[in-house]
Amino acid sequence: MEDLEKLLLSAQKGDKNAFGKIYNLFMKRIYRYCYLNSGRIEAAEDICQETFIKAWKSLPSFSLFKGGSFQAFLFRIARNCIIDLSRKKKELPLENALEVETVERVEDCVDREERISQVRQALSALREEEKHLVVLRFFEELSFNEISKILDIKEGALRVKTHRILIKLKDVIKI
Amino acid sequence: MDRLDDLRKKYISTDPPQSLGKGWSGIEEKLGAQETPSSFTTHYIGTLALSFLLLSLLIVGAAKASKPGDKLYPLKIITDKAEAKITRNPELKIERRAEDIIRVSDDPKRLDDAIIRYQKTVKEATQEVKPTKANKLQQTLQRQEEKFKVQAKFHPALSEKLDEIIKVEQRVEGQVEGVENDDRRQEKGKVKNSHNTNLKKN
Repeated sequence: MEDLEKLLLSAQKGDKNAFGKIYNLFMKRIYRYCYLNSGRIEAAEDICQETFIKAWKSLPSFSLFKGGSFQAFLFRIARNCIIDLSRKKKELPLENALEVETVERVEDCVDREERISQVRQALSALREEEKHLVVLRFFEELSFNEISKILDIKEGALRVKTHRILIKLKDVIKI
Repeated sequence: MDRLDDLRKKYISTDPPQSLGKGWSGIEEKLGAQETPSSFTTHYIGTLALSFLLLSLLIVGAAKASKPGDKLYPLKIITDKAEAKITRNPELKIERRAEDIIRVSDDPKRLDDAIIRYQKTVKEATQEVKPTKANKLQQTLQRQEEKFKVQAKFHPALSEKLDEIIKVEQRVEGQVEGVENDDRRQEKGKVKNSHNTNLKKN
C-alpha cells in the first residue's frame, strides 16, 4: 500500500513510469470489470485504455489523504466509460474483432468467453446497478465506502440494497 | 454462498488478452497533459459565473416586461435608473414610467401605482437635470403630456387621472423654467462682472 502511495505521488507530479506501474497493478481488475459489463473483448480493451487515460488526466485532483481510495477512483471512471459506451452504442466493425482474436490462442479466447458468459448469465436477472454492486462488493471485494463513491449511493442505502440483492440472487442462482 | 464463490472464481480467472498486457506503451503515447487542480477550480468558477450571468440576464429580461404592482417591477425601476445614469439621459426614466402608465391605463389599481412612480421620477429628474439641459427635459414632459391626452380618449380610468398628472407636470415644468431663468441670470451676471473688471483694468 505504501508503494502505491509513492507511485501515486510520483504519477501526480507527472511521472509516466510510475503511472505505468500503477497500470500494471490495476489493469487486470479494470479489464475484467469492463469485459463483464460491455460483453465484448475489443470494447473492454477500449474502455480499459480510456479509463487509464482519463485517470491520468484527472490524477492531480485525486487526494489520497482526504480519504480517497484510488481503486474507487479508477472503478468510478471505468463505470462512467461503460455508461458512455452503452449510450453511444458504438459498434466496432467485425474485422477489428477478428484481428484481436487472432493475436492469441483461440482456446484461451473461448475459455475466457465461456467463463465470463456464465457469470453474466447468473447475474442477468439483476438490474444494471445491482450487477455493478455485486461485482464490486463480492467479486472485487471493495468496501461499502468505496462502492458508495463509485455508484453515488449513500452507504446506508447501499447496505440495504446489497441485502435485498442477496435475497434476489438466492432465488436465481441458489447461492 | 458457494455458488457466488464459484462465480467469483470464474470472474477473477478472466485474464485480459496478452495484447492488453503489453498495451502500456500504446497508452503511454496517448497520455496528454494532466489537468491541474487549479484548472478544475477555474473551470468550476467559470461555469458558476456564466450560470449567474445567464440567470441575471433572464431575471432582468423578465423584469423589463413587468408592470407596476408586479414583484419584479422594482427591479425594472432600478435597471432603468442605471441605464439613465450610464447614458446620461434622465429623460429616459420619464419616458419609461410614462409608458408604464399607458400600459396599465385600463387597470385603476395599477394605474395609481404607475402615476405615483411617474411623479416621483419626474421630481427626481428635475433635481438631477443640468441647467443647460432643462429645455430638453421640458420638451420630454410636454411630449408625455400629449401622449397621455391621446390615450385618455380611449381609456376612461386614465382620463379621470389626467388632470392630476398634468398638474404635476406643469408644476415641474415651471420649476424647470425657473432653473433655466436662474441660469440665464447667473450667466448674464458673470458677463456683466467680467465686463466691469475689464473696464476697471482699462
